[in-house]
Amino acid sequence: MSFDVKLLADQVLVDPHGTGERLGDRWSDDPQVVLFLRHFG
Amino acid sequence: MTCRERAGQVRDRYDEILSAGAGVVAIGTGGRRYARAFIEDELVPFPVLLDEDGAAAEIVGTNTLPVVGLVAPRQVAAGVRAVAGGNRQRRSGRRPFQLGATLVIAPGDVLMYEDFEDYAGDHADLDEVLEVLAP
Repeated sequence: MSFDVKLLADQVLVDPHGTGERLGDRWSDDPQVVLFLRHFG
Repeated sequence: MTCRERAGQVRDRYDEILSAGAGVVAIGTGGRRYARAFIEDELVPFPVLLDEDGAAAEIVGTNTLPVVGLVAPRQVAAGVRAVAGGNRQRRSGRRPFQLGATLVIAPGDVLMYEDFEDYAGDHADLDEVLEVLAP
């Protein structure tokens, strides 16, 4: 593993409306494809 | 524009990913207004979150595009491909030199797959991703 997945899981990110969520909740039940996009240009 | 290309690639195979029992979440660098427009323009069916301070990308270790990399042949080719695919460059979002990555993470914080872009447009092969999800 090249990075600490648990640390990533604990990150709280916001959706486009400003609502925060713990990222790791996304994969608590099912696998998730996590896409880091370069930017929204 | 390569982010739009990437979103379209995943959007077009989203049903396959769902059928494999997985979900998709995109993490972008742009602002909230950018993200809303991006979702609307690209008909993005999956959730989009914002890494506003870059902390998540730093943890993951996404690569950074060097300035000279913007004119590298493979970068130019990726740009031409993206434009040919109907993608257009809009105003640049935050941290335009941060490159993308594709991960698959399973319950229990198990990393199943990781692929880091070496240049803009260097997207992970979605066949590989689906193989991980449904071997």
